Amino acid sequence: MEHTGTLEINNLNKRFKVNGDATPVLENINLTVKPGEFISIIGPSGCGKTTLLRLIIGLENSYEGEILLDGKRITGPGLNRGVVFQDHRLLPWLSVERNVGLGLEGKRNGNGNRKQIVQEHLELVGLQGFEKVHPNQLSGGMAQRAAIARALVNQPEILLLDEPLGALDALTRMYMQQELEKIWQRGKHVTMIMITHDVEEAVYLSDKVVIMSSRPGTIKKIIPVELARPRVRADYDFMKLKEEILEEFHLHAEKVFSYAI
Amino acid sequence: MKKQFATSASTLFLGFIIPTLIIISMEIVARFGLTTNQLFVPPKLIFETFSDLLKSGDLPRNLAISTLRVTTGFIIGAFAGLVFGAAMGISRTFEDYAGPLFHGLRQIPVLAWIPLLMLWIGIGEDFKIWFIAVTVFYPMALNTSEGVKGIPMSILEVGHVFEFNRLKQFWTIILPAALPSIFTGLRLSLSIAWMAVVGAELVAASEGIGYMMYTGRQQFQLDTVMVCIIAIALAGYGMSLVMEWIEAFCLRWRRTVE
Amino acid sequence: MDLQKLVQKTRGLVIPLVILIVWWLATRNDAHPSPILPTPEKVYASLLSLLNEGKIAANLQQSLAKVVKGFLVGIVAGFILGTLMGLSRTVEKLFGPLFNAVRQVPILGWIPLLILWFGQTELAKVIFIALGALYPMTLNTFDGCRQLKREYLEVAQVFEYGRLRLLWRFTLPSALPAILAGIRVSMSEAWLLVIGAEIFFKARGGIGDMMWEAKERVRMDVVFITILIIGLIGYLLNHAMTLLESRLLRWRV
Repeated sequence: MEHTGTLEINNLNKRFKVNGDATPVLENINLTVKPGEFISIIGPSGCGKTTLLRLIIGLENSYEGEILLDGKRITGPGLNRGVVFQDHRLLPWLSVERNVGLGLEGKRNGNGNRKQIVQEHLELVGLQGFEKVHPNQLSGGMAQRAAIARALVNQPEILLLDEPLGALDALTRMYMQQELEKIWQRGKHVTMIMITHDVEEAVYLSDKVVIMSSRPGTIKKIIPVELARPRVRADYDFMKLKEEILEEFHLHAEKVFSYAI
Repeated sequence: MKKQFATSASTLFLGFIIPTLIIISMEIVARFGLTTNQLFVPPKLIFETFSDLLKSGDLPRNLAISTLRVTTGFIIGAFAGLVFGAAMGISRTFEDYAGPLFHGLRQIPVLAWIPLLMLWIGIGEDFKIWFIAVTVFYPMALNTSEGVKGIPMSILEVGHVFEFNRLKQFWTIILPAALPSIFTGLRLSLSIAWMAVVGAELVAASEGIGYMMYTGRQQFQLDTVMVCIIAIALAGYGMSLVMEWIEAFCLRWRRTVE
Repeated sequence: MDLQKLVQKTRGLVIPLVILIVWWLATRNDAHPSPILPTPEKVYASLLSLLNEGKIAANLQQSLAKVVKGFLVGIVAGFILGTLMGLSRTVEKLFGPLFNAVRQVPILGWIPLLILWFGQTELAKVIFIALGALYPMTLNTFDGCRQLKREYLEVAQVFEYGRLRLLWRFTLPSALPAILAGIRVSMSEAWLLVIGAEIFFKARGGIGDMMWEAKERVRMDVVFITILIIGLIGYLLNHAMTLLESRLLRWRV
């Protein structure tokens, strides 16, 4: 199934007014995301990456410039843009299957079809068997997987993820990165735009890494990641890319390989 | 937790719409004689009766008597409740002994105490004050004990680390930390105390605002009854305002913590 | 039951037992038994005879009928009012101040007015009870409807939920804990006020009336018994509400 959905951001500027002074939050953002791409946005705190995401989602609306999805201006949240929040935001009073089916309510699908779609997506994220369970009984990783299923159920053109693995412990996070990649592959390559603060995660998952700098938030550099999937973290090229990105933040990875010729 | 509805300027304005409409429609009904129902009372009459009773001194006198009863009963009951509640919160042993009886008696709705107390104490001043005290005792004791129990262990440990003796621990740490809950209890108890005094005066009094309402009803003087209702509301509101000021004063520190 | 719990429970029984013993002893010597302190035996005997005559059941039934009527009217009205005020700031501003002002008057204060308007009828008593149940229900429902977390609201926006579905799927379930708490409190209020109604209105049956009559005839034993029953029923009603609450809120963290 084809996923259309070219996202274009042209000359995006956003200012935040405090007592009459306008502080620029985002300045001169220009970005194009092609259908099926996996983009990570990485940057220090305060660089406006969350604001940028919320603008694309449509939860915030005042800005200058253009945000276009397939050439059409975005005016508010919508089912064509799925969202995975950092706090999974599963409704505690609904079971897992009802949570996942949230986007399907009120559609003319008929109940039988709906159940099937929910079931498919639960299998996609590896939660089959947990249909009747309530969120308070799930672990962090499982809850986030349910949130991903919920976001995918409407077959959105783009999936937006706001530090989806940030609330998980380091071990679960690594595991979930692998799972997220598998889900992406199995889910027929939905366009993904993910915010993360974990450089390794960005290199592991994305086709392109967008590096932002703060105050004001601008796009500093876009680094393509052209490694074969699934990626190997200990791979030389992998670590070189990681180093390249870290250097943008004036940080260094541990040097495992160094050739002296 | 203070449950109030918004009170800003625009709110005040909107809030007056409905009462004003009610009063206006009542006036219209009165002026045009749209009803001959004896039990309908035009606002003008209420107002006149209000000022009459005010001038004759009946209203202030009765209101003062009731207020005095409320205050006395409230102080006795609140103090007893505070001490009892603090004891329950601080000492597990005390709670073990006194708890079941306390919670058992608590199941009895306060109004059910009236016949019992009337038989034991009679129908004089004492009865009313003791009744008020009993109704105030329970919420105070509960709120205080919950307030004390709710103090986080981390704060109590500060006292232990500094080797506070029991008295110092109580005054410096326990009492201030429980103060917000105690004030919640005080606010709640105040309105309950007013309910108690009205109740007591409706069944067994020869003076007081409740008694005034009672005779007003017996004599089919709807206007007097309404005046009394307004007076009670005003008095109750006034006292709760005073309570709020005291609370704001005592809990000045809270704003910085939050 | 481990040792500590056993000790706790035993301690709890000490004072009631002491009181019982003192009571028993105090009523031993009386050549002239005081009317206001009956002997335990007398209380027990009265209890049995009342049970046999079915008086307790009959009166309880009347009181419970009133409670249920007033309670239901009160919580439905309170729910509607609370939701309207919770969802719309305008409605809140229209009705809020009036509601606050009316709340200043203790519920008992409305009795003379209600008697004048509706007479000493069952209707007046039911309205009285409903009024009392209305207050806590409105406040709790109002709070509940206000407290939908922004995080969940955003989920609804992302899934393009319309206003009605937002209410049904998000606002009301999130308000459910507060609403159930309101129902619980309203229940206790209603039970309290049924007793009040039977004391303060000219009565026509009911357990509160039974208690009042006993007072008039200086039958302290019956007064004791009725107080105990009133307390017991109050406890059971409260317990039932609490069970309902925990059943419906199993999804809570």
